[in-house]
Amino acid sequence: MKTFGKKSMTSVLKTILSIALVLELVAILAHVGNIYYHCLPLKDSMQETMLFMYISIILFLIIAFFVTLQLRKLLDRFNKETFFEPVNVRRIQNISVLLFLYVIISYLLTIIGSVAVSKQDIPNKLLNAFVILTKGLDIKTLFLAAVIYIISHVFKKGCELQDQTNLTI
Amino acid sequence: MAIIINLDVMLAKRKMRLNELSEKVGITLSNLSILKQGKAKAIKLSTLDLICQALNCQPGDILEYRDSVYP
Repeated sequence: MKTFGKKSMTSVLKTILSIALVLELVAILAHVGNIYYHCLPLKDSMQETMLFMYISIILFLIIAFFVTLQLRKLLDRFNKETFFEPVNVRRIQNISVLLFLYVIISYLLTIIGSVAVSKQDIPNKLLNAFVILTKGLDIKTLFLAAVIYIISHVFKKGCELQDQTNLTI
Repeated sequence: MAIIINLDVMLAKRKMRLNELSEKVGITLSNLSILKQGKAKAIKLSTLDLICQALNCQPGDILEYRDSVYP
């Protein structure tokens, strides 16, 4: 299987990402609907916890949506065999920043959630769901974001070299 | 950069047009235009060789160093 061009690995990945984009959008809308249907108007502490959970999920989905969008655009450029361009560097940097943002938001939600949950009497099932949703400081993603940031700088160097090559007659 | 490309001067001296040179040396017009405008970052010795051959001149006739020119 080819890596770039038509019917290549990149184009398959691009299609998968397009489907993921649509699914993420649907999921965001579904969770907004869930908030209206299950949580509003707020009556008890369980609804408050559920609202908090839905908002957390929506935040994560929004970040995932933008990461997928950037990745799709990046793969689109790669598919056309244009690699070392400033726009690609910017996209890779955006992905790294979004992942950092995900880690920070996830960590903040854990702290806020833990404090809120400790004060309320909520069912164990919901508590478990909350623990799964917010995993504390996500070291793996943090590491990935740092590596992607370094890769963006590698691409920046690549851009400089490409520029030099283009302007060598 | 303090290195000046005097390609246009040499072309005028030899009464040759840029596209004529392009055909002779086999370098695209756009690349020669980049060279003429001084936008090029580097020039290959093989390119210089071809241009000197086509214009019947020395590399010094095309390249010049001027101290007072800044980027």
